[in-house]
Amino acid sequence: MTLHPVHATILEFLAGQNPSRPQPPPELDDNLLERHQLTSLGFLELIQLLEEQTGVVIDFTTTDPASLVTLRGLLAAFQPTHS
Amino acid sequence: MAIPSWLTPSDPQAPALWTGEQQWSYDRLMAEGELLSRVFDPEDVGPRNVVGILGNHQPHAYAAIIAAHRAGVGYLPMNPVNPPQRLADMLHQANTRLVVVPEEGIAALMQLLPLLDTPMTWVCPDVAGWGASLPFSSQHRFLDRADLERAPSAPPVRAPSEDALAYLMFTSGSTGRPKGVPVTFGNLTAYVDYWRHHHPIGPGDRVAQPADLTFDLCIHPIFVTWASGATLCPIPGVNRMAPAKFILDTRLTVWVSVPSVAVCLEKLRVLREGVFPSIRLSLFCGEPLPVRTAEAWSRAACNGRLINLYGPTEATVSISEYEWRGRESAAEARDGIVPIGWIFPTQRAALRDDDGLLQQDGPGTGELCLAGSQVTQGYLNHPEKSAHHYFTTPATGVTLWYRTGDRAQRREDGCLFFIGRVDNQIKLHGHRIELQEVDGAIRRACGHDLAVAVPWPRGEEGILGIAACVAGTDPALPERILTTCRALLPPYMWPSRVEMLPALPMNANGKIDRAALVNHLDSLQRTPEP
Repeated sequence: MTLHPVHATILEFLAGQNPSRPQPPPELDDNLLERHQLTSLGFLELIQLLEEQTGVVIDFTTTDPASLVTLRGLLAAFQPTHS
Repeated sequence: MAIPSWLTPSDPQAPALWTGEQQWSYDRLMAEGELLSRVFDPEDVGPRNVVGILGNHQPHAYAAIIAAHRAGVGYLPMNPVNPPQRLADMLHQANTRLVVVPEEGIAALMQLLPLLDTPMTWVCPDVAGWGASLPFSSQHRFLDRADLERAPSAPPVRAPSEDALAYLMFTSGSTGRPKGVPVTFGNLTAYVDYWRHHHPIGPGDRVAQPADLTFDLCIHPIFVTWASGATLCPIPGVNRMAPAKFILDTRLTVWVSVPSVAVCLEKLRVLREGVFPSIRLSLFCGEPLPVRTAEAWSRAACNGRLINLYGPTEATVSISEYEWRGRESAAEARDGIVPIGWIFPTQRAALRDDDGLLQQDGPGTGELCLAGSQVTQGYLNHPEKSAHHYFTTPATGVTLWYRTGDRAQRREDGCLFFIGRVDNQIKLHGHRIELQEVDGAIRRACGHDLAVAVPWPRGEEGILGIAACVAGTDPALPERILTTCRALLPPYMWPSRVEMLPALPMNANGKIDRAALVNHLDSLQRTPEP
């Protein structure tokens, strides 16, 4: 099955975070920070990357960042048709 | 000295603590502090009079601070996310046998227990009752909430002596072990009094605390807030990356953080004109403040003042200040960085030149040295390191100076500019890191010394991460290095990547050349993949 481009971008970005130490792809509800797949800096870069790719702009004055630390949360924000 | 001002609230019903989920009044905070201090046995707090707190942002971690201070003893903050081995080392160095464990610390406690061979007392106020489920070895004593409620009331609050320990803050150590900085009630009171008199806040103010309890920047919001009758607002973990919604929801009036947080918000395009109208005072400390960030933040918090602070843990949070004045400040900044400003009038600063001579007045450049009531007396259990960093001036023999390791330039009018470090210490998101400590963990994993940590990558805002550079070809090494670092070092010290190289560059003294490695990594990044 072909991944949605947003999903593919996220997985590719996570893999690139530490190429010398590959990790299995996260489950939908894994906390990417707690699993150390993302640092706070990486989180910021990923959000910027996804904003560029999708044109969706996250307004952090109304968005709790906690809602974006899982694959499911990111897909919901940047791929609105994801359920 | 008198009873500390943060233990004598003027309005017991006013909110003291707001965690986003719970609000505690001063009355509640003091009552929970009294409850905990009921079981503070002088024998358990050890010869250094210190109580451990294995927690971070839950209310009982704050109650434990009150409990320690009302009993006249200091506290040792222990972040549950740190490796158990590191926590055990801190307890060992502090020589305490008493630790308060809020709910958030229970999992870390389970991992810590097998590493300890000394009988300890663990006070767990969020546990209603262990009952038959007590899973621990019998050498330790575990007290739950029911035990606390059964215990006799604590004695009334007593005034501590000026040189008694108020808190023990561990920082990165160049020898591979964290080193403890004992801060006394005299140091802390001098700091809090300065802020109360020069930049007062009061009831109705809501003060941000994004820093962990193990990062000394948290000291400012905690004690200045409570000494002023304001409300302390610790920011939950994940919100610290992008706290805009928290700031607006909580209607914060005072912001205290490292500049990195503002840099993140700027990149996320949050810092729009007037977006934070409730903030009336913003304090940045812990790393260089870029002019661009100061401009963006002052536009966003348009109704408030912005002050850039400077200070090492050894001088109690901050000791110099520079108030941002828009274009005028931008014009006097150097290399795009806001000045660190003027030493508090209650403290002293001098520049030490290459010959070891101290220059206390006038323009000049040198290593910044500090003296005064905020300056601590030396490191815990480290007489050699203390002798290196602390000295008395021969002329009087009574003034104790602390060598910061920071190079600074002083203008004619006394304004200070941070230039750089004299050693391998770096600041990453405000955290102070001795690269040698990371080297030690990397080398332990490698089994050889041809390995170092370097500050990389770097961005316009400064250092963005740490890379481990290792000579070798073993494909299993990266995984081993990262696993070892995670077992030994706190998360902010973990390398974000491992670079395997055929050999490491050496400088003229035969030492590994970190600067050349950074340049090499920069060049690799610039070279597109074929």
